Amino acid sequence: MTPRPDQHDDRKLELMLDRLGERERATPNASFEARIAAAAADAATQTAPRTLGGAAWFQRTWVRLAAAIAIVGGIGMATLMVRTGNVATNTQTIARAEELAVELDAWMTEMEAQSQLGLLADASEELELPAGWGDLDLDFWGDDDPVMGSSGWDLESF
Amino acid sequence: MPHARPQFAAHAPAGGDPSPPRELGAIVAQAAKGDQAAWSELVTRYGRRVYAMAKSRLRDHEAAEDITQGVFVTLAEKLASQAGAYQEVGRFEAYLFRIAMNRVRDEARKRKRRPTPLSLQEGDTGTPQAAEHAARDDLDELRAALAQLPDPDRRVVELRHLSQMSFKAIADLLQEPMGTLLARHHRALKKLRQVLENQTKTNMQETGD
Repeated sequence: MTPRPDQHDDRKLELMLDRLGERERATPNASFEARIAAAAADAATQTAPRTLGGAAWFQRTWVRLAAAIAIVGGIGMATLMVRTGNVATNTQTIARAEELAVELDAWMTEMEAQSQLGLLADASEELELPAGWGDLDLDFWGDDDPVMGSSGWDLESF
Repeated sequence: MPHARPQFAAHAPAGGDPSPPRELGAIVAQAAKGDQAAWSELVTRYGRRVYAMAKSRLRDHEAAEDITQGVFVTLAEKLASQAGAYQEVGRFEAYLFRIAMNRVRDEARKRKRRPTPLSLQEGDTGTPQAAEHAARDDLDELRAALAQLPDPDRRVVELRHLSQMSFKAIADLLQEPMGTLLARHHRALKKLRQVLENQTKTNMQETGD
Protein backbone atom coordinates (compact mmCIF):
# COMPACT_ATOMS: atom_id res chain seq x y z
CA MET A 1 0.00 0.00 0.00
CA THR A 2 1.47 3.34 -0.96
CA PRO A 3 1.56 5.75 1.95
CA ARG A 4 -0.30 9.00 1.48
CA PRO A 5 1.86 12.11 1.11
CA ASP A 6 0.78 13.44 4.50
CA GLN A 7 1.69 10.14 6.14
CA HIS A 8 5.15 10.39 4.62
CA ASP A 9 5.40 13.98 5.82
CA ASP A 10 4.15 12.97 9.27
CA ARG A 11 6.86 10.36 9.55
CA LYS A 12 9.57 12.80 8.54
CA LEU A 13 8.30 15.33 11.02
CA GLU A 14 8.15 12.73 13.78
CA LEU A 15 11.76 11.78 13.15
CA MET A 16 12.71 15.44 13.38
CA LEU A 17 10.81 15.73 16.63
CA ASP A 18 12.66 12.68 17.97
CA ARG A 19 15.95 14.38 17.12
CA LEU A 20 14.76 17.53 18.86
CA GLY A 21 13.87 15.42 21.88
CA GLU A 22 17.32 13.89 21.91
CA ARG A 23 18.85 17.36 21.92
CA GLU A 24 16.50 18.64 24.64
CA ARG A 25 17.34 15.68 26.88
CA ALA A 26 21.05 16.45 26.78
CA THR A 27 22.18 18.47 29.76
CA PRO A 28 25.40 20.42 30.06
CA ASN A 29 25.85 19.27 33.61
CA ALA A 30 27.84 16.04 33.80
CA SER A 31 26.89 15.36 37.41
CA PHE A 32 23.18 16.03 36.78
CA GLU A 33 21.97 12.49 37.36
CA ALA A 34 24.29 11.69 40.24
CA ARG A 35 23.31 14.84 42.10
CA ILE A 36 19.58 14.21 41.68
CA ALA A 37 19.85 10.54 42.70
CA ALA A 38 21.77 11.51 45.83
CA ALA A 39 19.22 14.19 46.74
CA ALA A 40 16.32 11.76 46.25
CA ALA A 41 17.96 8.97 48.27
CA ASP A 42 18.65 11.42 51.07
CA ALA A 43 15.06 12.67 51.02
CA ALA A 44 13.73 9.11 51.20
CA THR A 45 15.97 8.33 54.17
CA GLN A 46 14.92 11.48 55.99
CA THR A 47 11.23 10.81 55.40
CA ALA A 48 11.27 7.13 56.35
CA PRO A 49 8.66 6.56 59.06
CA ARG A 50 9.75 5.73 62.60
CA THR A 51 9.14 2.15 63.52
CA LEU A 52 8.18 0.37 66.67
CA GLY A 53 9.31 -3.21 67.02
CA GLY A 54 10.61 -3.07 63.46
CA ALA A 55 7.20 -2.27 61.99
CA ALA A 56 6.04 1.12 60.74
CA TRP A 57 2.65 0.31 62.17
CA PHE A 58 1.61 3.83 62.98
CA GLN A 59 2.06 4.86 59.39
CA ARG A 60 -0.76 2.62 58.36
CA THR A 61 -3.82 4.64 57.56
CA TRP A 62 -6.21 2.27 59.24
CA VAL A 63 -4.27 2.42 62.51
CA ARG A 64 -4.33 6.20 62.49
CA LEU A 65 -8.04 6.16 61.72
CA ALA A 66 -8.78 3.75 64.56
CA ALA A 67 -6.75 5.84 66.99
CA ALA A 68 -8.53 9.03 65.92
CA ILE A 69 -11.93 7.41 66.40
CA ALA A 70 -10.94 6.11 69.83
CA ILE A 71 -9.71 9.52 70.97
CA VAL A 72 -12.68 11.43 69.65
CA GLY A 73 -15.07 8.83 70.99
CA GLY A 74 -13.43 8.90 74.42
CA ILE A 75 -13.58 12.66 74.62
CA GLY A 76 -17.18 12.61 73.46
CA MET A 77 -18.21 10.05 76.07
CA ALA A 78 -16.47 11.94 78.85
CA THR A 79 -18.11 15.18 77.83
CA LEU A 80 -21.51 13.55 77.66
CA MET A 81 -21.16 12.04 81.15
CA VAL A 82 -20.13 15.33 82.68
CA ARG A 83 -22.87 17.27 80.96
CA THR A 84 -25.53 14.69 81.89
CA GLY A 85 -24.54 14.93 85.55
CA ASN A 86 -24.52 18.73 85.44
CA VAL A 87 -27.91 18.94 83.79
CA ALA A 88 -29.58 17.10 86.67
CA THR A 89 -27.72 19.20 89.23
CA ASN A 90 -28.39 22.45 87.41
CA THR A 91 -32.09 21.75 87.14
CA GLN A 92 -32.39 21.37 90.89
CA THR A 93 -30.24 24.41 91.47
CA ILE A 94 -32.24 26.54 89.10
CA ALA A 95 -35.55 25.50 90.67
CA ARG A 96 -34.25 26.22 94.17
CA ALA A 97 -32.88 29.57 93.01
CA GLU A 98 -36.25 30.52 91.61
CA GLU A 99 -37.93 29.64 94.91
CA LEU A 100 -35.40 31.65 96.82
CA ALA A 101 -35.84 34.61 94.47
CA VAL A 102 -39.58 34.66 95.05
CA GLU A 103 -39.06 34.45 98.81
CA LEU A 104 -36.50 37.20 98.64
CA ASP A 105 -38.78 39.46 96.64
CA ALA A 106 -41.54 38.95 99.16
CA TRP A 107 -39.20 39.64 102.06
CA MET A 108 -37.80 42.76 100.42
CA THR A 109 -41.23 44.10 99.73
CA GLU A 110 -42.20 43.56 103.34
CA MET A 111 -38.99 45.13 104.57
CA GLU A 112 -39.46 48.16 102.39
CA ALA A 113 -43.01 48.51 103.55
CA GLN A 114 -41.94 48.25 107.16
CA SER A 115 -39.26 50.81 106.56
CA GLN A 116 -41.69 53.21 104.93
CA LEU A 117 -44.14 52.76 107.79
CA GLY A 118 -41.42 53.46 110.24
CA LEU A 119 -40.45 56.65 108.48
CA LEU A 120 -44.00 57.81 108.31
CA ALA A 121 -44.53 57.08 111.95
CA ASP A 122 -41.47 59.15 112.82
CA ALA A 123 -42.71 61.89 110.57
CA SER A 124 -46.18 61.85 112.10
CA GLU A 125 -44.70 62.17 115.60
CA GLU A 126 -42.68 65.16 114.55
CA LEU A 127 -45.57 66.74 112.80
CA GLU A 128 -47.95 65.79 115.63
CA LEU A 129 -50.29 64.28 113.15
CA PRO A 130 -53.48 62.65 114.34
CA ALA A 131 -53.32 59.00 115.39
CA GLY A 132 -53.88 56.54 112.61
CA TRP A 133 -52.22 58.71 110.11
CA GLY A 134 -49.18 56.48 110.03
CA ASP A 135 -51.24 53.38 109.42
CA LEU A 136 -50.99 53.50 105.81
CA ASP A 137 -52.86 51.22 103.59
CA LEU A 138 -50.30 49.70 101.38
CA ASP A 139 -52.86 49.47 98.71
CA PHE A 140 -52.85 53.27 98.59
CA TRP A 141 -49.79 53.19 96.54
CA GLY A 142 -51.39 50.97 93.94
CA ASP A 143 -49.47 49.90 90.93
CA ASP A 144 -48.55 53.35 89.82
CA ASP A 145 -45.54 55.19 90.78
CA PRO A 146 -46.44 56.83 94.14
CA VAL A 147 -44.12 59.71 93.47
CA MET A 148 -46.05 61.16 90.60
CA GLY A 149 -49.79 61.54 90.84
CA SER A 150 -52.12 63.10 88.40
CA SER A 151 -51.45 66.49 89.79
CA GLY A 152 -47.78 65.94 90.13
CA TRP A 153 -45.88 65.76 93.41
CA ASP A 154 -44.61 68.91 94.82
CA LEU A 155 -41.98 68.18 97.42
CA GLU A 156 -41.99 71.77 98.58
CA SER A 157 -45.55 71.48 99.77
CA PHE A 158 -45.02 68.32 101.79
CA MET B 1 24.61 -17.14 45.53
CA PRO B 2 21.40 -15.33 46.37
CA HIS B 3 21.56 -11.55 45.98
CA ALA B 4 20.00 -9.25 48.56
CA ARG B 5 18.78 -6.67 46.05
CA PRO B 6 17.37 -6.97 42.55
CA GLN B 7 19.66 -6.50 39.55
CA PHE B 8 18.62 -3.45 37.60
CA ALA B 9 18.80 -2.90 33.86
CA ALA B 10 21.80 -0.83 32.80
CA HIS B 11 19.99 1.58 30.47
CA ALA B 12 16.59 3.11 30.16
CA PRO B 13 14.64 1.59 27.25
CA ALA B 14 14.23 3.91 24.27
CA GLY B 15 10.86 5.10 23.01
CA GLY B 16 8.90 4.80 26.23
CA ASP B 17 8.90 2.76 29.37
CA PRO B 18 8.05 -0.88 28.76
CA SER B 19 9.54 -1.94 32.10
CA PRO B 20 7.66 -4.90 33.49
CA PRO B 21 5.67 -3.70 36.53
CA ARG B 22 7.31 -6.30 38.76
CA GLU B 23 10.82 -5.13 37.97
CA LEU B 24 9.91 -1.48 38.31
CA GLY B 25 8.02 -2.29 41.50
CA ALA B 26 11.15 -3.83 42.98
CA ILE B 27 13.22 -0.78 42.08
CA VAL B 28 10.64 1.60 43.53
CA ALA B 29 10.38 -0.46 46.72
CA GLN B 30 14.13 -0.24 47.21
CA ALA B 31 14.12 3.46 46.37
CA ALA B 32 11.44 4.09 48.99
CA LYS B 33 13.91 2.83 51.60
CA GLY B 34 16.57 5.28 50.44
CA ASP B 35 18.62 2.85 48.36
CA GLN B 36 21.12 4.93 46.35
CA ALA B 37 21.45 2.39 43.53
CA ALA B 38 17.69 2.24 43.08
CA TRP B 39 17.49 6.02 42.84
CA SER B 40 20.35 6.07 40.36
CA GLU B 41 18.40 3.64 38.22
CA LEU B 42 15.18 5.67 38.40
CA VAL B 43 16.97 8.90 37.58
CA THR B 44 18.75 7.23 34.67
CA ARG B 45 15.42 6.04 33.28
CA TYR B 46 13.35 9.16 33.83
CA GLY B 47 15.56 12.09 34.79
CA ARG B 48 16.41 13.46 31.36
CA ARG B 49 12.89 12.92 30.13
CA VAL B 50 11.55 15.09 32.94
CA TYR B 51 14.32 17.60 32.29
CA ALA B 52 13.46 17.82 28.58
CA MET B 53 9.81 18.57 29.34
CA ALA B 54 10.74 21.29 31.82
CA LYS B 55 13.31 22.85 29.51
CA SER B 56 10.97 22.84 26.53
CA ARG B 57 8.47 24.90 28.52
CA LEU B 58 10.76 27.18 30.46
CA ARG B 59 13.66 27.60 28.02
CA ASP B 60 16.03 27.71 30.97
CA HIS B 61 18.32 24.77 31.57
CA GLU B 62 19.15 25.73 35.17
CA ALA B 63 15.49 26.01 36.09
CA ALA B 64 14.84 22.73 34.31
CA GLU B 65 17.53 21.01 36.39
CA ASP B 66 16.18 22.46 39.62
CA ILE B 67 12.68 21.35 38.77
CA THR B 68 13.87 17.88 37.87
CA GLN B 69 15.64 17.55 41.20
CA GLY B 70 12.57 18.88 43.00
CA VAL B 71 10.38 16.33 41.26
CA PHE B 72 12.53 13.40 42.34
CA VAL B 73 12.84 14.69 45.88
CA THR B 74 9.06 15.01 46.09
CA LEU B 75 8.70 11.52 44.68
CA ALA B 76 11.15 10.20 47.29
CA GLU B 77 9.23 11.83 50.13
CA LYS B 78 5.91 10.47 48.91
CA LEU B 79 7.23 6.94 48.45
CA ALA B 80 9.05 6.89 51.79
CA SER B 81 6.04 8.20 53.69
CA GLN B 82 3.88 5.34 52.40
CA ALA B 83 6.10 2.91 54.29
CA GLY B 84 6.21 0.23 51.64
CA ALA B 85 2.53 0.47 50.77
CA TYR B 86 3.19 1.55 47.15
CA GLN B 87 2.06 -1.05 44.64
CA GLU B 88 3.35 -0.74 41.09
CA VAL B 89 0.48 -1.29 38.67
CA GLY B 90 1.97 0.30 35.59
CA ARG B 91 1.21 3.91 36.54
CA PHE B 92 4.52 5.02 37.96
CA GLU B 93 5.45 7.02 34.87
CA ALA B 94 2.12 8.87 34.84
CA TYR B 95 2.53 9.55 38.57
CA LEU B 96 6.04 10.94 38.10
CA PHE B 97 5.14 13.15 35.16
CA ARG B 98 2.08 14.48 36.93
CA ILE B 99 4.37 15.81 39.64
CA ALA B 100 6.66 17.23 36.94
CA MET B 101 3.86 18.92 35.02
CA ASN B 102 2.57 20.58 38.17
CA ARG B 103 6.00 21.91 39.02
CA VAL B 104 6.60 23.23 35.52
CA ARG B 105 3.16 24.85 35.43
CA ASP B 106 3.79 26.59 38.77
CA GLU B 107 7.18 27.85 37.63
CA ALA B 108 5.77 29.07 34.31
CA ARG B 109 3.09 31.03 36.18
CA LYS B 110 5.70 32.63 38.42
CA ARG B 111 7.71 33.66 35.38
CA LYS B 112 4.68 35.22 33.72
CA ARG B 113 4.23 37.46 36.75
CA ARG B 114 7.79 38.71 36.65
CA PRO B 115 9.59 40.16 33.59
CA THR B 116 12.08 37.80 32.02
CA PRO B 117 15.50 39.24 31.14
CA LEU B 118 16.12 39.33 27.38
CA SER B 119 19.05 36.95 27.77
CA LEU B 120 16.71 34.23 28.93
CA GLN B 121 13.94 34.74 26.45
CA GLU B 122 15.52 33.05 23.48
CA GLY B 123 17.25 29.70 23.36
CA ASP B 124 19.40 28.04 26.00
CA THR B 125 21.22 30.03 28.61
CA GLY B 126 24.90 30.08 27.93
CA THR B 127 25.29 26.36 27.40
CA PRO B 128 28.09 24.92 25.29
CA GLN B 129 25.43 23.53 22.96
CA ALA B 130 23.99 27.02 22.44
CA ALA B 131 27.44 28.32 21.51
CA GLU B 132 27.93 25.51 19.00
CA HIS B 133 24.55 26.12 17.40
CA ALA B 134 24.79 29.86 17.01
CA ALA B 135 22.98 29.80 13.64
CA ARG B 136 19.37 28.72 13.65
CA ASP B 137 19.12 25.21 12.29
CA ASP B 138 16.13 23.12 11.39
CA LEU B 139 15.70 21.90 14.96
CA ASP B 140 15.61 25.48 16.23
CA GLU B 141 12.96 26.25 13.66
CA LEU B 142 11.04 23.18 14.78
CA ARG B 143 11.28 24.18 18.41
CA ALA B 144 10.04 27.69 17.62
CA ALA B 145 7.16 26.21 15.62
CA LEU B 146 6.29 23.87 18.52
CA ALA B 147 6.00 26.87 20.84
CA GLN B 148 3.32 28.32 18.57
CA LEU B 149 0.98 25.36 18.88
CA PRO B 150 -2.07 25.51 21.16
CA ASP B 151 -1.23 24.20 24.60
CA PRO B 152 -3.06 20.83 24.44
CA ASP B 153 -1.45 19.97 21.07
CA ARG B 154 1.97 21.10 22.20
CA ARG B 155 1.70 19.02 25.38
CA VAL B 156 1.00 15.80 23.50
CA VAL B 157 3.93 16.36 21.15
CA GLU B 158 6.32 17.22 24.00
CA LEU B 159 5.33 14.21 26.09
CA ARG B 160 5.58 11.91 23.10
CA HIS B 161 8.80 13.08 21.49
CA LEU B 162 10.74 14.98 24.15
CA SER B 163 9.77 12.91 27.18
CA GLN B 164 9.48 9.65 25.20
CA MET B 165 6.18 8.61 26.69
CA SER B 166 3.92 6.05 25.05
CA PHE B 167 0.41 7.14 24.08
CA LYS B 168 -0.94 4.81 26.74
CA ALA B 169 1.15 6.51 29.43
CA ILE B 170 0.11 9.93 28.11
CA ALA B 171 -3.54 8.86 28.26
CA ASP B 172 -3.00 7.79 31.88
CA LEU B 173 -1.30 11.04 32.73
CA LEU B 174 -3.79 13.37 31.07
CA GLN B 175 -6.81 11.20 31.90
CA GLU B 176 -7.97 11.28 28.30
CA PRO B 177 -8.88 8.49 25.87
CA MET B 178 -6.04 7.26 23.73
CA GLY B 179 -8.05 7.83 20.55
CA THR B 180 -8.39 11.51 21.44
CA LEU B 181 -4.67 11.79 21.98
CA LEU B 182 -3.81 10.08 18.71
CA ALA B 183 -6.11 12.46 16.84
CA ARG B 184 -4.65 15.44 18.65
CA HIS B 185 -1.12 14.30 17.85
CA HIS B 186 -1.97 13.95 14.18
CA ARG B 187 -3.57 17.42 14.15
CA ALA B 188 -0.53 18.87 15.91
CA LEU B 189 1.81 17.48 13.26
CA LYS B 190 -0.32 19.04 10.56
CA LYS B 191 -0.19 22.43 12.27
CA LEU B 192 3.54 22.14 12.76
CA ARG B 193 4.04 21.49 9.06
CA GLN B 194 1.97 24.54 8.26
CA VAL B 195 3.93 26.76 10.65
CA LEU B 196 7.22 25.48 9.26
CA GLU B 197 6.09 26.08 5.69
CA ASN B 198 5.05 29.62 6.57
CA GLN B 199 8.37 30.17 8.29
CA THR B 200 10.26 28.88 5.26
CA LYS B 201 8.34 31.23 2.96
CA THR B 202 9.06 34.16 5.27
CA ASN B 203 12.77 33.28 5.33
CA MET B 204 12.89 33.03 1.55
CA GLN B 205 11.21 36.39 1.22
CA GLU B 206 13.68 37.95 3.64
CA THR B 207 16.71 36.54 1.89
CA GLY B 208 15.28 37.48 -1.47
CA ASP B 209 14.92 41.15 -0.50
